[in-house]
Amino acid sequence: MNTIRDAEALRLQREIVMVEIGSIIRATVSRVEPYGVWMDHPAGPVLVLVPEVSWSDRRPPSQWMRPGDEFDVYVLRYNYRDRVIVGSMRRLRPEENPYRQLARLEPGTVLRGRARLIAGDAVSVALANGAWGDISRASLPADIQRGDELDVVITAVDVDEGRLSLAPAAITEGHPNGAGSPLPSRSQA
Amino acid sequence: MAAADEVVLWKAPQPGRDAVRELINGFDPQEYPGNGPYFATVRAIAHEYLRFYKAGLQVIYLPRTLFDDLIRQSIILPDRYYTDGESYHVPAAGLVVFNMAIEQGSPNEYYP
Repeated sequence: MNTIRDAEALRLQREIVMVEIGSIIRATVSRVEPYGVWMDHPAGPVLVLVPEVSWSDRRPPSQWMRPGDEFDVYVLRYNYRDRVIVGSMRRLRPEENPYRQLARLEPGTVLRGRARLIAGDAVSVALANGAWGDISRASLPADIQRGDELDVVITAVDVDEGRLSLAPAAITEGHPNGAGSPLPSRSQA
Repeated sequence: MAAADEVVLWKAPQPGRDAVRELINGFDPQEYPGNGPYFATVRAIAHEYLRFYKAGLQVIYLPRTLFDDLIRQSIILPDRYYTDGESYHVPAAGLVVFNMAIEQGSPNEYYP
């Protein structure tokens, strides 16, 4: 009888500490690795992968996070295989999300970017506000080089995931010189 | 550039790794114990790590049939920290097989 009662108590205890996807939890840093930050929470270990730490701060987390520090974490998903809560800190700061800023622009707005990586069938372009997007290599001049500036328009943006697809801007009457619209730099965003 | 029947795996190596040697000689199980190296099939995921690690980008081309076989054999496993189909890892125990497989596609590339 006691065993059944104990098992029921344990089940209830586990339910109490279960966290819901989409909720915000307070967790304590236990270990900082190059790939992310491990944290402790009563419901189990939490991992915030390094891209999910911040939208703008690209310093290694080990430079500013220490074991024992506490942070609010948004629960993204649950890794059932490893029993780890997968979290995000950057999603609690939507005002710093450069992709959200882009999503507010009028469709067709021309933006100035710089080719940062020419790899595979795409060119990765960095915009002034810190967002990166990809543009098909086939749509660009064959002699495009890293560092070249180019005018682009948004074709798709996933704000929460921070993913952006771009296309070359057509020169229109509104932009006779192909000059990109001013976009606040990261420090202004 | 990838052929139509190839899967592209993107990896931003951590600083200190010899990214070129890894593409030539393969990923050393001793340097990647446990869960082994992680690879994204979504370029944007690798970008995000690249922007922290600042150590370039590896691009690996794997024939799709071989990729699917390695998934079936559990040599390549889904990365449960991402949405299904976006990221994978190769536990150390499977790296010898994986290293042979990545020689079968288009030449792999490293962008510093």
